[in-house]
Amino acid sequence: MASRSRFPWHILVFILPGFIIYTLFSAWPLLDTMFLSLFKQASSGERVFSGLANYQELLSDPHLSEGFWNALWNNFKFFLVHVLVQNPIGLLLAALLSLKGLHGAKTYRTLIFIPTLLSVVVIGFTWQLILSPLWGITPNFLKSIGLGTWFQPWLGQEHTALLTLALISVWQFVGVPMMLIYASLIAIPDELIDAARVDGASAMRIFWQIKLPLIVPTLGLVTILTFIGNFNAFDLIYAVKGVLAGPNFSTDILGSYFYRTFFGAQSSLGSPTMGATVATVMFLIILMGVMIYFYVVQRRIHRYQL
Amino acid sequence: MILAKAKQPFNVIAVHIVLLTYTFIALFPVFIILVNAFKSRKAIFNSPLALPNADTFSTIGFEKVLSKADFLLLFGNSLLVTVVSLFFIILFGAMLAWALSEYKFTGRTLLGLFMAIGIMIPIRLGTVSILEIVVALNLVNTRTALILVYIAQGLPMAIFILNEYMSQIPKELKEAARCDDVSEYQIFFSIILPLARPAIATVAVFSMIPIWNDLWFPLILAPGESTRTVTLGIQQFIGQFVTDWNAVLASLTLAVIPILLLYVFFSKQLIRGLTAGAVK
Amino acid sequence: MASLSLRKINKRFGKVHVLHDLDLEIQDGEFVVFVGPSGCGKSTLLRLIAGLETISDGEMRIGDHIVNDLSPRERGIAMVFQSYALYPHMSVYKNMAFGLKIDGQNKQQIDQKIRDVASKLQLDSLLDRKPGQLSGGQRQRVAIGRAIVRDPKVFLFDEPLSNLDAALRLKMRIEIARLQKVLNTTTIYVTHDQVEAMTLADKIVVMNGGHIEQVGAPMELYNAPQNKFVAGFIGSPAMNFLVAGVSTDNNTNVITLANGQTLPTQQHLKHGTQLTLGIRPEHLSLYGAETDLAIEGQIESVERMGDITYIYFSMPGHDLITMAQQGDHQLPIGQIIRAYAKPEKIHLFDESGKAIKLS
Ligand SMILES: Nc1ncnc2c1ncn2[C@@H]1O[C@H](COP(=O)(O)OP(=O)(O)O)[C@@H](O)[C@H]1O
Ligand SMILES: [Mg+2]
Repeated sequence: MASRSRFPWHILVFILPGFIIYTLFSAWPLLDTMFLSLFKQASSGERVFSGLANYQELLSDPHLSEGFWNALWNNFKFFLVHVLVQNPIGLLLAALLSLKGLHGAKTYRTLIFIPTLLSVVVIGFTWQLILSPLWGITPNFLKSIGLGTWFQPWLGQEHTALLTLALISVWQFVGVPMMLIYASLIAIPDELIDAARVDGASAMRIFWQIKLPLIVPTLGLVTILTFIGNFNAFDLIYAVKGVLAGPNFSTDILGSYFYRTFFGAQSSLGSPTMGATVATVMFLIILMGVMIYFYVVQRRIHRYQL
Repeated sequence: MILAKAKQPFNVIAVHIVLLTYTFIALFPVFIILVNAFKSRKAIFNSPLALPNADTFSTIGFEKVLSKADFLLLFGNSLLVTVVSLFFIILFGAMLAWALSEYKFTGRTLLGLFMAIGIMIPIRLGTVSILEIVVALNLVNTRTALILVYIAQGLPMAIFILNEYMSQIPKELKEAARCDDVSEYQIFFSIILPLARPAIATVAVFSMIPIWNDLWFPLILAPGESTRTVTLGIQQFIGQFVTDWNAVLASLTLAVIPILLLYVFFSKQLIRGLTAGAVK
Repeated sequence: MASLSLRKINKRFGKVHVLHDLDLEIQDGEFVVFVGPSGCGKSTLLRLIAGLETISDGEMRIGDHIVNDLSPRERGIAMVFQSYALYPHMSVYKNMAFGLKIDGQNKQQIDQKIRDVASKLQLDSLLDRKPGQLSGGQRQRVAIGRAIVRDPKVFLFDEPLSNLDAALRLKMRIEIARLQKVLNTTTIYVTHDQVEAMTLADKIVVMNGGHIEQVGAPMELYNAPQNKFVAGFIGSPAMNFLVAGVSTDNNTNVITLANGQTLPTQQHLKHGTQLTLGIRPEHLSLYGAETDLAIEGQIESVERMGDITYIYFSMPGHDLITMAQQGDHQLPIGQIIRAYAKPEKIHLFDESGKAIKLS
């Protein structure tokens, strides 16, 4: 028998296919994008190194920066609505669903999760129709409960469009925090809850003083996942409002701003290098969020062995 | 004899009211779309909340939509892209996860960290370069381009979940096999993969939904007539029909129904997959 | 402090009938142990008493009050769980204070009580620690402390020692026995371990398949088991059972063993009745008198512990017979052995498993 090769070929075989695809279509493009943000594209198509000029332009050039700061600010509002509305509703639903001995919990859970499964595009159009003054479902509903005068074309007004879109997104994705929190709630041992009941604690007190402190790590995780999701959101804005994120850019967030910078819209031409610059800034923002999560939140939060 | 009533430490009725209310909020919009898709234009506006009846029933919307667009093609594209991506995410993901959890080699930790970046950083941010690569490889407007990108997108989470699971597989199983001189490939394909089935189900669930529903990459990499996915198709389609309510509602319904049907059959597995991490 | 009384208690989980018509009286200050095989309904009964599960049928009183519809707190019970169930995010002190705070006691009162109990259980130095920083034995003591500090009418324990190693289990067993004597609080203790039952209980309740098989003092159960189940469950190693029948010899009934040996009996047993004869391993001896019951078999295995020797021998038609002999005995495997038992140490059971008085 020939001497066996010592080199562990099998390890290479296991690693390479996934590694190559991941590197080529995810890791390298990310790096390359950052690299590209340091260049300017001449009209001839040639790229010349320009250092941080793109960033300077993005942050201070009146033409570009106004849009950028607007999108960034809108994105923060978008995120804030999720944190303040989506996560508490998710928590409430999960807390109720995880009550022991509740009949129909599985059915509720299954039904409430449905919107999360549908594509953002479908959800966007659906709400557009429902909120449409033309169709009248919402105005009629409000009229029927005596709030007819409250109706406004929320998606069409500058001061309400972003909030409305954020709430639509909340409505769609509430299933995610609900499931994650639910899973961590039912992982709390029954005996612990029994012990609290024997101690005389009411369901409310058990929730606030026993369950909630034990699922804080999950709340942290849900928040960072929401952050990442919100800071590269695009589909909903594009489906409902198109590339221009109207009215008057009031629903523009970083995702849609990135798309416009890259591909151009209406009169303005797109620029790959400027697009790469926006993407890199988004990358840095998300990275910052992730770092804050790992170094501040994760470290302070104690994970209790259950 | 006393018949004790079931006594819960919480107010059952209040809990049900809250949950029912929210379930209603979650389902009402979907319900409205489905119901009105089967009504005549007049009925859609006159009584949007009513179920279709003999007078109002109409499939005019579907007729229009199906005559103008090849929905079968759209579904075929989405299905192909999703299934093939999923297959390779699971296969390559499991292979990588296995290598990372089983073998000691230089750079293992580094490789693990490298793959983990993709969990936190969305692949979309590399779109500018991805498009350039796809152009260079001559893959613009192909489903292959989408599949490659989705594999890259899905791998990190898949590796994370599978690695966690595989490191819990008892040593004895593999060692017994090694004593029998079974090759490393056989160990992986005939012992480890079947054992990892629950984790694979979780991975499938986590990867499938974002791929099927994605708008971004189809829009940028494969917007052509023949390669469009459902999500993109619907988006462009509805854009053309804005004022034709029958057609819009029918398109939305066509997009929703397959997902709902799938969900009816697989919701149990799906939800088990979603909650698997914590329920161990 | 309180007595406890159960009348025709039933528990069903949906269609599954878990507890059947249980009747039980527990005196004030008594230490009662529920014992039985896994799945027989001990925990369920304890949880019914605690108020953690609802009673499907029947009546339960603590003291003079019917407590069927009262919450655990209103019943004035405290419970120690198998997994200890300490609140992982609270210090030992806060774990103990949690229930007292809910009762609305003031801070000084609470502090006083906790320090008091902590010193009784040597927990003083652990008060600021979280449960995660405690050893198994320490957690166990905290769990007991948390129960004691409530000053309950009834203590409930559900297999509290089953997560500890053997040495610690023995130590905690003695500790629990001592505490109960000092506090003199009515205590119900669930275990599947008959040694714990024998050593701790004033009164043992033997359960099987959702029924109470027998209630009595440990020695009562040992000496006079009312049925074959109790006879086999109490005592270690378990009682040996031999096949026997009734035949007539000179117009008097005699009990006949499979090997043809007969025993006189004064009972009026019908000819041809099938019986089971029970002998505890420690009541079998290598030496005996003419009047003793004698059985023979081939030695299959011998376990020498030094102070005691267990001899296992086979008899056709029976499980291995166990014999326990004081001291060290060196016996060769395969040898035929003869074992004797005094007639008064023999238990008899009828076909349904009910005990028959031999005398
Ligand atoms: N919540 C429940 N739902 C259905 N069956 C149960 C439930 N709790 C216990 N049981 C059943 O009741 C029987 C008794 O259980 P348990 O009281 O825990 O037994 P033990 O503590 O004696 O081991 C078992 O057969 C068990 O499966
Ligand atoms: Mg039990």
